[in-house]
Amino acid sequence: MTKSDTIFAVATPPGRSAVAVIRVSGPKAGIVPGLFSVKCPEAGRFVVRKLWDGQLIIDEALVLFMRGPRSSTGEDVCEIHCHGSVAVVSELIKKLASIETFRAAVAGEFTRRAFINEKMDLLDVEGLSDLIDSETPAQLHQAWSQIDGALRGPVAQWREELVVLSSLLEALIDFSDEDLPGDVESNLRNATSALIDNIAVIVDDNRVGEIVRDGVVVVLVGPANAGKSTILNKFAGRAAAIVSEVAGTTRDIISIRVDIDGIPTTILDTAGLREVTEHVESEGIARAIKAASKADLVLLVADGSVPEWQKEIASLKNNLNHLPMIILNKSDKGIVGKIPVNAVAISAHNPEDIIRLINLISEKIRPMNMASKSAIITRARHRSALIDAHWSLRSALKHNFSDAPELAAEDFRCAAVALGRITGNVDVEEMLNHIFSSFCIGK
Amino acid sequence: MICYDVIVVGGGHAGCEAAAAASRMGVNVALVTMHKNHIGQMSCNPAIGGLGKGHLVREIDALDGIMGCAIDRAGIQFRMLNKSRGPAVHGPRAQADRSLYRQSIQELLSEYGNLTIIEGAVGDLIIKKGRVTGLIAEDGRSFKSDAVVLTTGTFLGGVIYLGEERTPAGRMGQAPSNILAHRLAEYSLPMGRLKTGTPARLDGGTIDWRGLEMQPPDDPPVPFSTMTSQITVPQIECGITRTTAKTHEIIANAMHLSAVYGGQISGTGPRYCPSIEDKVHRFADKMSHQIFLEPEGLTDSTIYPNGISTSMPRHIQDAMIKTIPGLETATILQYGYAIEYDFVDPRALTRSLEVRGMPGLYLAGQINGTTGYEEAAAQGLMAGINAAKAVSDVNNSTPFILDRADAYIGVMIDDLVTKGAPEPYRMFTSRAEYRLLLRADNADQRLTPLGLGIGCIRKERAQLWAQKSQNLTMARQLLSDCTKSAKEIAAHGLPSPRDGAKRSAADMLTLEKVTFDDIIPIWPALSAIPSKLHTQLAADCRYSGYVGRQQSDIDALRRDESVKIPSHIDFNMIGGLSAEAQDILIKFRPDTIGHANRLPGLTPVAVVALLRHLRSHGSVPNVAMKI
Repeated sequence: MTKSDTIFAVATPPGRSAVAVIRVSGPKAGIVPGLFSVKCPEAGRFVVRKLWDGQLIIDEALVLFMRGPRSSTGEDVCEIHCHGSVAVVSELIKKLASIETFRAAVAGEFTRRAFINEKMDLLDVEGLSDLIDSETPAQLHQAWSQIDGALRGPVAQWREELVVLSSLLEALIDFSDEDLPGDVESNLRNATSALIDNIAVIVDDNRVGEIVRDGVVVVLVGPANAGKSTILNKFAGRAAAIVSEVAGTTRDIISIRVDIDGIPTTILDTAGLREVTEHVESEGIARAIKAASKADLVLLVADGSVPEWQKEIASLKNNLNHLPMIILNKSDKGIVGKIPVNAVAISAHNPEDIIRLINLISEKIRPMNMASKSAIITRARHRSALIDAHWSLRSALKHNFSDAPELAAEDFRCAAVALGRITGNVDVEEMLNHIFSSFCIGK
Repeated sequence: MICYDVIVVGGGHAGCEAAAAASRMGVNVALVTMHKNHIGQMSCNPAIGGLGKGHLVREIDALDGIMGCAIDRAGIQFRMLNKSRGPAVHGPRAQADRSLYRQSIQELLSEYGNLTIIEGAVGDLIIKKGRVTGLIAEDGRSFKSDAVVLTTGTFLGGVIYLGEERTPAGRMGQAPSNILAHRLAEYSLPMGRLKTGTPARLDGGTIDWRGLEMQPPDDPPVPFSTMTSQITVPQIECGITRTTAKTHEIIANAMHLSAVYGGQISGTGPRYCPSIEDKVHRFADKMSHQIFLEPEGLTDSTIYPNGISTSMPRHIQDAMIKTIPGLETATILQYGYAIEYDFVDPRALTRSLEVRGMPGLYLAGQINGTTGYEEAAAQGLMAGINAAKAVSDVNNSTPFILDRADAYIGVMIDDLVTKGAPEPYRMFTSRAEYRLLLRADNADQRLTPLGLGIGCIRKERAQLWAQKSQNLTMARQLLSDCTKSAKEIAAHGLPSPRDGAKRSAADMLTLEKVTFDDIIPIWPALSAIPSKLHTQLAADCRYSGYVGRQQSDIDALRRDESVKIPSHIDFNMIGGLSAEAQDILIKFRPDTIGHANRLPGLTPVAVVALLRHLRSHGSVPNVAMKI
């Protein structure tokens, strides 16, 4: 894998859309228009041309060429803005892939090249990826606070504490022949426990920061005639701002992406549950349950106007590992029996009820979100580093500091290395790899 | 004019090791020293090894150096420090009979046919076209050579302080090298001042040993060198006593008379080796400090009271000593003193210990800001090897560099050239990130093959090493072949989870507290393994679970080390660097990305900008950048 490769990727989300953008970067980007029998436009200019595959027209598209270093990656860059048809895009990509030294870009590679070619600074990159990805104002705010170092403060402090703790332990090792105070070991144990607790408080935040960044997933489950699709459609119409609409990835599950009080929320309708609820083993239900198990919030929807609803809910509830929010739909027809305390009765056709439901959902997901200060872990990479540090420190305490101080010290060292992965001052390559693989612009 | 390939200046621990190493590499070597019979002299405490330092001695030995063999012939109290802890932090240490040690070093050096010893004081270097090509003695004699290794210890601009007395000296009773010090300063090498101290020496015959706690030697003593089969020097005990409230009172009242506290000395002293004035001043709440009474020899009654180095005037030293239990009537044979000396900022060196910008000149030992015989010897060894390597293969010489994952020696040199010596540098085990791998017990397995690769290992050791390696391989096979069910193992009273899986002897050794003695009854076949190998084999098993984790760290380290920074690079031309980062890079000219990454003050952003520059300008292949 060398920088002499020319890389390409579809820069727009997969699936049907009005426009799809294909980006190509590298020394041979300039030959791309020619591949489709189009004369390469002057650097910095774009042209609208028909793209040909031999005698066949593939599409009519906008073709843009930038000459490095005056380009987004610092290399020669060609962009094709074509129609967002799966067939057109795959035709173009197929052609590019057939050219020697051309290959598909891996995650973050455009950014990596932009960075290496001095188009971007390291500190920018990490925060910027959030910024560019951000879809809602709350996300935007957090991306900036990331750059300001909301996480760096506590991590730097822990690292300092860890240095102190390590030095105590190292003293027990390297100065064992000196007369050290007898309470070094017990002090060390106590202080380590305290540090473990401090890290745990931040780590154990219900993934607040990541939820703001990645958004939450809400799943609708329930029998087919309960009105889930209606609810989904009403959400799509009523939720504050529809950010994007993504075609379902499977035929069984339909999803929409909405903004609920600043939290990007993906709502999935497990449309496969069209079978009767007695056949719990059926494929569709299994799939729905799987989707529900990965969701942040499960809405269990039943038709409250039919007498079976209690049985249906009980049966589905048993198969969920979440405590669902129970929605009894069709209240306009009258709910049969007593409404449970934790259930909500609505009519999907009543706009006020839909707003009430959205507010309830918001209440459920907001505690993880708007408790501003504690939401400081925004990236899985950071969380994994903190979990590693936490784990290492706990492991350190398992050793007897008199018999095996070197093993406890090794655990302390690993904890420091783990924290260093956040502040980024341990191993350059490792840090780069983490940053660039979490950074997916242009791919 | 007489010509040599390599000239080593100084007959201390660095100089001896440098001369011996260069000789082993097959070049013609001269060792220039002021007094032939002082070669191998221990100026300070009569002991070799200790925590971290013991590792260095084993590593020197693994590269066929002389320090390990010398102390094995001269050690009068061998002790393994941290013996109750894991083998990675064991610290072999031995007290030496001072004269036996000197004698052993001189004998060992006499075995080298291509090594000439010259008495004389060095006054200047001969420099032609920026290259060092020889040296001139103070008496006017000149010697030509392709490389010079300076190991001047505390002699460069050395000044001894004793109360208010101030005497130019390299060590007590010996003249300093002032002319050379001036010349080096004129060559615009970055110089600084450091200080260290030594306690009074006592007449053992005047000490009341009754009632003092005595510290016995290990039985049997474990040698430093793999070439030594057994220690034959008689072993003795040391005494332990403590300072009293009265001692502290005398010191506190006389603080203004101390050379160190009287403000006469500007040099920085080591924090980990404080004078007794320091201890009393800085740790005022500590009521008493331990003192080890270490005999300086089997036939010498001199006692070295380890723990009370001082620069107080004589009458205060006299008064102080009398307040210490056992020393009430002790006579002082030589008063303690502080010594201040010039050193060269080691950041001016490459990792082969050659002065950057002055090819042919190598520095080793205290001149580089280190303290301790072992640190000096280890640098001497590396400087000697590299000087010889450079002169014997001028066109195609790659320096012999040990990295932080190879050896404590590598850790030390990397620390010196990246961080300098803000205080006298001493080795600690905690400086080694890969401590579990870099053990005293496996130094030969780590380094002897590297030594064989460059030709600094003599035949006898090479044969011994090959034999031992073969034994280790067989023993490892045996340890993994010997298996028993959990039930059978439990029958021998050893911990064994009843999960139905078989356990090997190697598996058992991974458990804390399980030793060879515990498992030989289970598998009598294991008694075929020589007991000499037990520590190393058990340590390999014990740490095996940690090795994988460390290995990935080491891979990352070596990846960064493999990215070389061309010596001609213009740091001013690199985009995205702060002025501060540029200053640091220009001043210390790191030779690899790993080196840059460890330079204090250089931020990760700067390192990454540097990396980016190297990559985008094609001076570095892009292979290291994994995606």
